[in-house]
Amino acid sequence: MTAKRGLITDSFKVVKKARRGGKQDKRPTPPPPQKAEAEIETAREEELQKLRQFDLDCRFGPCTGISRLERWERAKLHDLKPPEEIRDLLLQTSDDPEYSQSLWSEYPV
Amino acid sequence: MFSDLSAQKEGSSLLSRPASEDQGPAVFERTSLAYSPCSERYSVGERNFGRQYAHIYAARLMQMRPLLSQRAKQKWGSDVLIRKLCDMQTGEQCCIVGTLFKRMELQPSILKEISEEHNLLPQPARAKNISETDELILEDELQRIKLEGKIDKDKCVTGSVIAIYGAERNDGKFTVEDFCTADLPLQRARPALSADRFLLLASGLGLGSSRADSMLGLQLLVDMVTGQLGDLGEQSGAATISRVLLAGNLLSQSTQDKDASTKAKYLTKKTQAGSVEAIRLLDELLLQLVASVPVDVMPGQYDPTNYTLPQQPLHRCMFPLSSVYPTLQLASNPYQADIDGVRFLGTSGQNVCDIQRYSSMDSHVEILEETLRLRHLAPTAPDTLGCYPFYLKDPFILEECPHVYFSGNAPTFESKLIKGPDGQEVLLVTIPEFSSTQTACLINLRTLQCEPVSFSAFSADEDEESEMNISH
Amino acid sequence: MDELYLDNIDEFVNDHNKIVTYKWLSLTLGVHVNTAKQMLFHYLDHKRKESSAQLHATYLVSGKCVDKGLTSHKVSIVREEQLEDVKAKMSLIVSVHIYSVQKALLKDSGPLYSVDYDAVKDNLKSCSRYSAIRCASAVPMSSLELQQRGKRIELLHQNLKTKSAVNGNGSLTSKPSAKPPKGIMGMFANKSTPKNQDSGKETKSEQKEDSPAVDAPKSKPAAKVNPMMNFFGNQTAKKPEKTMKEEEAAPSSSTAEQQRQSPQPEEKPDAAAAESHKNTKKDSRSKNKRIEDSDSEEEKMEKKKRRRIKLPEPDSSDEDVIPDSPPQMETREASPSPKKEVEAVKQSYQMNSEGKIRKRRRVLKSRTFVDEEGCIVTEKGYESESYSETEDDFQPTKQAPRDPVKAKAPSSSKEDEKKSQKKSSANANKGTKQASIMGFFQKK
Repeated sequence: MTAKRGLITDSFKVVKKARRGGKQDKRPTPPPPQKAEAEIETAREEELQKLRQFDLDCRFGPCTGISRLERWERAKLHDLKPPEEIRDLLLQTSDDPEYSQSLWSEYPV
Repeated sequence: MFSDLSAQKEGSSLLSRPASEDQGPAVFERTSLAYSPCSERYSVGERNFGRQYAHIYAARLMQMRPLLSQRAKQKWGSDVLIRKLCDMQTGEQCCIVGTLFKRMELQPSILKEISEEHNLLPQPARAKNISETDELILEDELQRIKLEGKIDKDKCVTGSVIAIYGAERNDGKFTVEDFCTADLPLQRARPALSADRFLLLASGLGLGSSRADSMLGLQLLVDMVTGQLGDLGEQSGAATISRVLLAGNLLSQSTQDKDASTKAKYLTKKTQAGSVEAIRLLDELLLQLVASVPVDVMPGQYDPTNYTLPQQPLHRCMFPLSSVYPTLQLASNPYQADIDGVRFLGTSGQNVCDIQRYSSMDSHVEILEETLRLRHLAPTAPDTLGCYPFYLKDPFILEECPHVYFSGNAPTFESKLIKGPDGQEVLLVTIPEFSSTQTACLINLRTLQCEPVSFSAFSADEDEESEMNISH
Repeated sequence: MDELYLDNIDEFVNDHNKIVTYKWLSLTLGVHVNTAKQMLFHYLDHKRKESSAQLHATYLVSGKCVDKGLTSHKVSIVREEQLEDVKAKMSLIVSVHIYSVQKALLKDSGPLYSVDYDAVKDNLKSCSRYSAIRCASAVPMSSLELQQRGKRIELLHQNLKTKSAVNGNGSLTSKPSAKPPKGIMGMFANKSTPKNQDSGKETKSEQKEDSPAVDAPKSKPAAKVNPMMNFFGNQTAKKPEKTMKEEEAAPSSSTAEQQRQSPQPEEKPDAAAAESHKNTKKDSRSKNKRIEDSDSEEEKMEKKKRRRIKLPEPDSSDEDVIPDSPPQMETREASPSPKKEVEAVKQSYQMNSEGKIRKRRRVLKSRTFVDEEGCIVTEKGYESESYSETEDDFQPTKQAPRDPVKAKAPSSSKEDEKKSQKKSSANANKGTKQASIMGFFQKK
C-alpha cells in the first residue's frame, strides 16, 4: 500500500517535470547531472506555487483574461500593496507563459 | 440673459432702407476662448473583448473603497467599524463598503427568454423595469448580502458603490440604518472671467428622420449662431457664442435599418443605408457651423460609431466638407474638456436614460445629480448599459469635479445649480432633444447661468393646427 | 445709391414667382445679410406704396420669453399678421426683420427651408461670407496641414497603444505596431491587428504555410489558359499608376505573384497539408492573409473591382441598354449550355496606357437547358463583357455599335441573328473566342 502510494507521487512528479520543464528548462541547462535539474525543478515549483497563491488572493481582483503582471500592476495602481517579489519574479520570466499567465488562463473566457 | 445682452438699444435698424454704400455693414469678430480637451481617459486604444466584466466591477470597488471609507468616517465618526462581509459578525454594528446589485424581476434577460421561449409571448418593452419584488443586494470581493431597512431600493441602481451602516440580523439579512455615497470629488477653482461668453449646447438633431419640418428650426439655429439672422444686437450677441457642442444623436433613430442585417443581400443591393444621406446633410450643416464657430461633435446612441460606452469620436472621413476646418472637433462620448478654465463633463444621455429605466427616478436632472453624488458617470454599465471591458481602472469614476455636468437627449430642458460638501458648485444641464423640442441651450461661462433657446416657425393656421394635432 | 435691386427683387418675386428670403438674396446678389434684409424692407415698402400687387411677407422675431418662470430666448418666423401678437408676448424684443417676401400666402414655413437649402448648397464653400460674424480660427486647412494633423492623431493612437493606457494588453501589442500604418490603409491595419492577437500564437505559426495555399488557386488558371493570362496582365499593368505611392515594389504584379509562389511549394512540400487545413480554418486564414500582406489584398481588391464591372448586371440599365431591348427573361438556375451564339450588339471601348484597347460590349447569348418540367428551353439574354484587343482590330469594331441596334429588336428570329453575325464577323471571329472563355469564367 505505502509503496504503491509512494510510486504514484513519484510518477506524478515525473510527469510534471516532463511537461513543465521539457520546453524551457532543458535548453538552458542541457547537460548538468540529474540532481541539479531536480533542484531547478523544485525551485521552479516553488516559484510557481507563489504565483498561484498570488492568483488566488481575492484582494487583487479577478485573474481571468489578464496576465499576472497586468493584475499586479492594477493592484499596485489601486494601492493594494501586492508583494514586490511577485513582480520581480514575473519580470525575470516574462517570456514563459507558465509564469506570465494566470492559473485559469487555459480556460476559455 | 442672452436676450438682455443682445437687445438693441436704439430700435430696429433693419426695418429701414439700406444705408449708403460707403458705410460698410457691421461685422463682429467671434470671441475665442481657451480650449483643451481632456477626454483621453475615454479613448479606447487597443480593443480586446476577451475579458469578462468582473474586472470592471473589481476595479470600481478598488477605486471607490478608500473614498467611501473616508466618507464613512466623516459621517459616522472616525472610530466606525469598517468591515468586509466575510469578517462581519451577526448583530455587530458596522459599516460595509460594497457594490449594489438590484435583482429585478422585470430586467430583460436573454437566458430567460431562451428558456421560456416555448410557452411565453415576448415581453413588451417597458418604460420602467422596476417592481415590488425587486431585491437589493450588496456585494464585496467575496460575498453578498441582502439589504433591508432605510434604503430606497427603487431609487438605487445596480453597480453603484456605497457604504452602508447597520447590522446583520439572525436571518442573514442586513438591516441598513444609514448609508452614504462617495459624493462630489474635489473641484478646481473656476477662473473669474471678465466678459460674458457663451457656449451653445444642442443634442438630438435627428437628421434623416421622416419628419422634415424640424429642419427649418435647425437651420434657424445655425443661422443664429453664424450671425445671419437677427438685428445687429442679436449678431453681436451671437458673436460671443464661442463654441458649439452637439451632444449626440445627430442622426435620427430611423436611419438605423435593423432589417439590413437580416435581409438577403440581393434584396438590399440597390438600397442605400439611410445614414448615408443623413451624414451628408450633417456634413453640410457642420460646414456652415465650422466656418464660423468651433464645434464639438459627440456621438450618441444612433450615430455611426461603436455602440458601447465610451463611444469613440465619429470618423473624419465621414465629413469631407467640414473636416478641413480646424474648428471641427470630433469628440468622444463621454466628453470632457476645459473651456476657458471651466471644466465640462457630460454624455449624450445613454447613462441617464438607462438609470431612468431601472430606477424610480424620472427627472433627468435628478438622475444627473444622483450620478454625481455616486461619483460615477454610468453605474449601470456594464449591467444594462453597453460598456467596454476595462480592467485596469474604471474611467467612468469622476476624479475631478466638473463645473458643468450635462447629458443630452433629454425630453425637456432642465438645469440646476448644486453645491457639494467641500464648496463645489456644479451646474447640471439636461440638453433637450432638438428634433422634438426645437430647443438648445446657452451657458454663460462667466456666471454659469443657463438658458434655453428655442426656435419656431409657423405650420398652418392656428385653428388648422389644432385639427392637425387631432389627426396625428 | 442705385436702386436697381428693387427691379431685381421684383423680377424674382413677380416674374419668377419665387420666395425671396434675405439669405437667398444675400447669396444671390452677394451682399451682406443685413443689407439684404434692408433691401427686402425697402422693396416691400416701395411696393406697398405703389399698392400694385398683393405681396406677403414673413418676419423674424427674436427676444426674451418668460414662460412659467423660465426665461428663454426665442427665435421665430411669423407671418405678417401674427407679428404684433408675437411681439406682444415677448418681454423683450431683440430683433425684428423681414425674413422673406413672396407673392403667395405661405400656409406653412416648410418652403422657406427648401429655398434657403438650395441657396446654401450652391454656396457651401462661402456660406458665411456675407454673415455678420467672422471667425479668425475657421480657416480651411491645406492638404499639408491635414496630413500633419492625421499623422499627429496617428501618433497619439500609437502612443495609446504602446502605453496600453487604460485597458491595453501590453505584452502583446509590440509586434503588430512594428509595421507602421499609413493613411487610411493603416487605420484598417490597426483595427485588424487585435484580431490577430486574439487568435494568438497558433494562427501566427499557420500564417506562413497558409499564404501559398491561398494564392495557388488564383494562379492556376493563369498558367493554363493563355487569354486569361492576357487579361490579368492587362489589368495589372495598369495598376501601378494608381498605387505607385503606397507600394514601391509592384512590378507587373502577376509575375511577381508567380515568383513569390513558385519557390514556396518547393520549400514546403507539405503544402498539401496546408490545403487540408484550408477547409477547416477557412475564415481565420483569410483574416491572417489580409493582415499579412496588404499588397496582395490591394491586388485582390483591384481585381474584384474589375470583375464587378465585367459581370453582367441585368438591372444596371445604364447607357448600354437600348430602350426597346427585349424583355429580360428570368434565368433560372440553369447550367450554361455549351452551344452559344455570340452577337456583338454594342461595344464600348477605351484605350489604356499601352495602346491596347479595352472593350465592353453587350452580347446576346442564347443558352439551352432542360428546365424542371423536362422541356428543353432556349433562352436569350444580354450580357456585357469586357475584353481587350490590340489596336489592329480597332477599326472594324468601331463601326459595329450602331447597326445592330436596329437588328436587335426582333432578335428572336434566326435570320436577324445571322445577318448581324455576318456584319460583325470581323470582330466576332476574335470576339467569340475570347468571349466564350470569358463567359465560361463568368459562370463561376
